[in-house]
Amino acid sequence: MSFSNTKINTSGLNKKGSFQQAKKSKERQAYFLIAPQIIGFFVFSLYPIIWVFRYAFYDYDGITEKFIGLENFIRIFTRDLDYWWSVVNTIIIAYGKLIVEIPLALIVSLLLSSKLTKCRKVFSVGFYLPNVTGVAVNCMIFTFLFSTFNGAVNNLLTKVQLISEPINWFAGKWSAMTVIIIHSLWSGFAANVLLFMAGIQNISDDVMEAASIDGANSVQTFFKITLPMLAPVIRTILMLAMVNGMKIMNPVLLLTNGGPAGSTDVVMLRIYKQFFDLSLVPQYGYASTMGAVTTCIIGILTIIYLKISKKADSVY
Amino acid sequence: MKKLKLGSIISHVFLILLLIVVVCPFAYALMSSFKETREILTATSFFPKKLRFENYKEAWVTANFSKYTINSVWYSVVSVLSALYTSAVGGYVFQRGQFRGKKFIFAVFTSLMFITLGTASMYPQLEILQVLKINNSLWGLIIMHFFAVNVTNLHLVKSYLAALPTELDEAAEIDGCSFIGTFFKIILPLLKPVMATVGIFAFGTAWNDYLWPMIVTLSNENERTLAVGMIALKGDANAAAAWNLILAGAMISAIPMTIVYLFFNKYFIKGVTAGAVKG
Repeated sequence: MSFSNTKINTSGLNKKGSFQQAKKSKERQAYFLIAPQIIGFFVFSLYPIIWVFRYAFYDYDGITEKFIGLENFIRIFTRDLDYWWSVVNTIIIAYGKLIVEIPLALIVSLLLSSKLTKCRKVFSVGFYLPNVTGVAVNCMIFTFLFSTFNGAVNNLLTKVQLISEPINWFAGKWSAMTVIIIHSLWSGFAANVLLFMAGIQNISDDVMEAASIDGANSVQTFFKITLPMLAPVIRTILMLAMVNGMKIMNPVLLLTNGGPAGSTDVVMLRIYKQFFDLSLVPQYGYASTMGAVTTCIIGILTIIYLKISKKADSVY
Repeated sequence: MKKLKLGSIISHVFLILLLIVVVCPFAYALMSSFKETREILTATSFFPKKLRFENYKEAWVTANFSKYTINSVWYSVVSVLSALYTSAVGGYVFQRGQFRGKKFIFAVFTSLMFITLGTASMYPQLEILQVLKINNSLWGLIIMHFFAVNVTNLHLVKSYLAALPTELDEAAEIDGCSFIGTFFKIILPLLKPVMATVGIFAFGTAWNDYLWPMIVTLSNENERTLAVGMIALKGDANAAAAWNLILAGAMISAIPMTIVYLFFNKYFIKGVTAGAVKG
């Protein structure tokens, strides 16, 4: 046996050199793969934020811009009542409906999760249907149903003699708000039902068995075990509602377009109209101010919510 | 025994009533889409006197819904491919990649969910599309979505990958496979389930997208999608609306999506719960 002629290639054993090379190559490949998203972040996410917060201090009509310092901010905080009404409307729609939506979703999810209910899939698939057909179709159908003359809703209410004259739903602020909230509930509660059901499934059967062995009835089980163990799900739902609620826009645009006369405007719709309504004189500076102020409001609400939920965390 | 049955009956009645309330609007719209406009407006009965398929023919040919449907189809398909690629690659890079700033970049991307301008960012984004000369077409949207960071999809794929063992990656690396190579040869085939969820969700979002497609096809009627075309039909609120056509159009948009949903509802529902419930 002779090994004298064999050459052992030791270059690969120079661990430090090739390991570093491999690591660098891996790094480069990672950057290459997500390069589009990094570019997209700067171009489509960061730049608009800078744009909006810059033009908030300007008077800009699309052609000429003039630096006016805090004037836009003074205007929004002292003279623009309509903006703050739109904030109130947003809060009413986004958070007011939670008072009905969360208990409803909770009850439905409990019923569907209990062994009493058969064909639970039929129900959960059916409830989620509005999320599949899309906001445009849904709002068109709702506009159709709530039409003043011979709309299905008016006909139904007249038939059961709850009203004597057809209601012109979209002509008054609060009737229009009612349509918006009903639509929101109708299309939104199913997602929460699904979230609750997932949370309920995560509650281990052992805990439920132990509770029933200890003699707890269903009411006690619900309040002392189910509800506390659903706290994370409730927290997620509230957080999603908090963040997405303020951004509600498409349904209002398609149902009422803020009508009548801007009384059902929500804040994102108001900003959108300020930017894109061709019948208005363009004031992109002021529109940016509205955007900047709204972003800060959402940020503050989110921080408040996170602080409160951290405290609630220590309870369970 | 009797108590149990009563509770079961009440619960079933409640659920059935609720289901009827949810589905009724669609049923009524569907029935009405087969009626003449006159019959719709006088609302004599729930069922149409006879099935008037002319509404659909008229919508398809005269009102251009054939064009809108084709646009919706290709826009949705391309959007799905784009979403599948970016979410798969993104999830892989952030879960299995090792590079400086990984945690920081991911945190910044995630924060995009909370720091949001909403509609205020639309004008500057449209400006960018104008500069790139793609503001007048659905392609501008597709390009914008491709470069954008979809945080939900990213998290979906990343969590899915977190559950996959890394031995396969390591074996591939030892065999000389590059980081990118490992992705295409090993990881991608394993991602099928989560890709189904991401894909279905992306399809639904693209098919039903209204605001941006509307803005981008304002002066480009040829590229309008179903949602945009249908809303455009309604036009002035005071003018007499051709409800028979509008509802036919609405059904043309809703029925394909509903059929897809009935077959693939598992993936829709997974998308809702996977992103939100941790644990």
